[in-house]
Amino acid sequence: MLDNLKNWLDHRTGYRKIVELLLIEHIPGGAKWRYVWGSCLAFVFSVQLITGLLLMTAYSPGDSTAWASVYYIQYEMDFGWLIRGLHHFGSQTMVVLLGCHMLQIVIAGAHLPPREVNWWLGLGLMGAVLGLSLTGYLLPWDQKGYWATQVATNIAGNLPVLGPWMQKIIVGGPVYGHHTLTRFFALHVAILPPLIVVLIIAHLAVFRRHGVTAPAGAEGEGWFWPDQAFRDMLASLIVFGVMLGLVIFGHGHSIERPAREGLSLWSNIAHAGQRGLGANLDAPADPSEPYPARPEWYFLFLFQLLKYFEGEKEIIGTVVIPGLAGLVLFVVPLLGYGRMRKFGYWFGIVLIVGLLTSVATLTYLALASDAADTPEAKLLQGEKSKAHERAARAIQLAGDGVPAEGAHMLLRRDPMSRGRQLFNDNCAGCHRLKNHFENGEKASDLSQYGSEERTRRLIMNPGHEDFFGRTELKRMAEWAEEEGLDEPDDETKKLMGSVARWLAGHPRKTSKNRASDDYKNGLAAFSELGCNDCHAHEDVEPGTGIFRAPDLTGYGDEEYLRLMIMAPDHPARYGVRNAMPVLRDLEGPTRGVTQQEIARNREALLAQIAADDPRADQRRKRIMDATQPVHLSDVDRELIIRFLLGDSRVVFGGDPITGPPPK
Amino acid sequence: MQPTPEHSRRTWMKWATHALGGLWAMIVGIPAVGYLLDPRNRPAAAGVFKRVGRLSDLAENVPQSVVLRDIRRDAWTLHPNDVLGRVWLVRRPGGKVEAFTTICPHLGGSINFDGKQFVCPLHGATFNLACKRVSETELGKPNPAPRDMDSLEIQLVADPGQDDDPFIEVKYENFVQGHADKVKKA
Repeated sequence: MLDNLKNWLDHRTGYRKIVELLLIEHIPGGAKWRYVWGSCLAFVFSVQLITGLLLMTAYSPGDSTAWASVYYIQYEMDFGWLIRGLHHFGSQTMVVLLGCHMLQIVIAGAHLPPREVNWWLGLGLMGAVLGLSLTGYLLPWDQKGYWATQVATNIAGNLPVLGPWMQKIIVGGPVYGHHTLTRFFALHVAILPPLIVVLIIAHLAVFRRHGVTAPAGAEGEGWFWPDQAFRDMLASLIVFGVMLGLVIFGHGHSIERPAREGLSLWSNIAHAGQRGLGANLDAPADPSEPYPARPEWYFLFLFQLLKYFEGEKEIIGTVVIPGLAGLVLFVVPLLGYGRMRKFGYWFGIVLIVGLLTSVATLTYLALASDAADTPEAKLLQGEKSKAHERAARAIQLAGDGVPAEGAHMLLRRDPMSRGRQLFNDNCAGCHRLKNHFENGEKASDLSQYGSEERTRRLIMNPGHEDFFGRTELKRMAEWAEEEGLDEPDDETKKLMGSVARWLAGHPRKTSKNRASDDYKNGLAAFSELGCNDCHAHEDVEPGTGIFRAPDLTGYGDEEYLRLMIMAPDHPARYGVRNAMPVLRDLEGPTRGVTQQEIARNREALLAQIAADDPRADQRRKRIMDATQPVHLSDVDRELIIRFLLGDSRVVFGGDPITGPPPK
Repeated sequence: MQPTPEHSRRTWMKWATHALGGLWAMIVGIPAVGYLLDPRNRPAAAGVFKRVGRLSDLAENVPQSVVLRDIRRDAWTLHPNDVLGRVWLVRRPGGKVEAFTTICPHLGGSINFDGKQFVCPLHGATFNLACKRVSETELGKPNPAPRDMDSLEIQLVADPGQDDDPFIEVKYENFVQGHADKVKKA
């Protein structure tokens, strides 16, 4: 039945003849293990084609989408880590195999006439493969690829005469961006691979024309199918096994996900990228973030070479020496004519062994100098570990979604890293934050802000330097002393605890737990302790006091903090007693309105100072100082709020509203 | 004919070559298929009620279209506040409010209101003010609409400040086109 079908198909298509043409090849001297390298290269290239096509179905070239889509492949899609890992390590495997193949060729003398053309085709293939490595390195649009490729294109830009023009053409404009990625992508998927396919066909056709270069005096006969094919296949599978091992013992960043237990085996393997398997993905490309850039390991020798030629002489390392090496490689088969053949043979071996040794030595020197115990290397290692942390953080954040503005916004809008920095720049001059910032001398310590523990401590000891101790706000401590609350009995302590627990829930009329015991007890204790004599709350009857302290509606939540930061002099915050600057967005289009509003508030506060107040001048000065608005953008403020509240979600939102320049 | 040792060695090699090739095809092929079928793991986002306006915004039997905003996940991109779609709101006599997606049940065009009835500009699917499919006899030509306009769940939420003017909230969902039955997209 199957034979009948095969016969029919062969009659209609003649496929058997094609298969025979491909497989039935005479190998003088017999099949050999050392002939496997070319087939291994073709095999790994086919793996690259398959995995590359698969990656193409999910990769999105573009300044704002490339990193995010690679993240998605690596961490979200079924087996994405494996497909991408094979592709990543496949490219490195090809570079290694190229070296093996070349060495085998010169040892066999296969570069000598009449096989010069095939040597040149091979050199073309090598160039195209290295081109694929270079273009592919940029595509994830991560810090590593971004900065390393900057160097490569800047080298092109430093070439004499046509350099700057060439750089612009390669990069797709004056600076890196969308068009750089689309051009590199097109080169990587649509130009270089078909070129390689054509070159491989030519390479094989010319190879067939002259046959295997049998060793002198070789005896025996062999055929490609199955003698050599089996060896090729087994060697290819061993190579593939090594690639698979590199992927599985890869060096990706792991990502924390809730509820990974209970997943099926399939699901566990499909998402093994989340446990750090597969190729590495660095932090998203961000021109504003410095990066200790190094090229991929197989270009490290060029990087090292560059160190020996400084300034004007740089071109010797970037162009002259690599160019000369290429030229010598090109002419080496021409040394095999006539009586020069023996010289050509040995020259080929010496050249390739010499080149490989130089590359290995330079690579080692580059690695050694980065790992050395020198100040420069220490600095680099420090920067590397910082970059490593940023990558891990970005990948963790991306799990909740990447902003449309681009993946670099993940870190720029991360409350835990950026928010911390902003707290340092804007708040730490006065406030402290235990274990983070210890230099503030004018205001409270904000660690654990809004928590039950901190609120309880505040109620028990408002005059402590963690709270109002460093400020001029003495009223609450005085009151506590007057009422004998500085040494509370057990009953009072219990009431204070209830209030603290209630406030830690950021109570509002709309609170979901308004019917719970915690809420009701806290509410009752609030009045019983007399807090409502000074503090207002939307759910509490005001007490009899006249002193106005902050309105505690929603105490310690985002909304509460927002008013505290933007209008600390608001009647619902510290009013005339406020000493904290008003922090507002003064760069957006609402700047004018904000400044007018602040000026009006200032007038209102100044008007509250009684004419006969003995400390009128002092009060006036404080109000004038505190109502000088300080710029803090809306996005930065939200980052600080989330940092303080331990809310690690990325703050979405673009840069201030701007438009194209007027025409 | 008795097979020679050479012959059986070569037969073994042929089989081994095929087997190794098959092994490799499996190691790459199974993950590749899993990877290509990955979108099966991405369910449609569950609809949640979103505020689109107030009851007083609507006049009786005058359809009004509103946009509905929510978090939108687009594979690797997250839009925290994006337009999910458009909705026709109709306030019926007696105060009942109904909501319909603007997506045509025929082939997914965007349904317009022409002052009297709802018409999809793509193939002329037509619905009356009650958002029911207009019959062929009434229309005088075939109506490509396979079913009535797709209604959406709606709830009126009281505003403590304004008791007589509640908020309108709609749950946005997508439905499969082309069927007589209304089936939610999974």
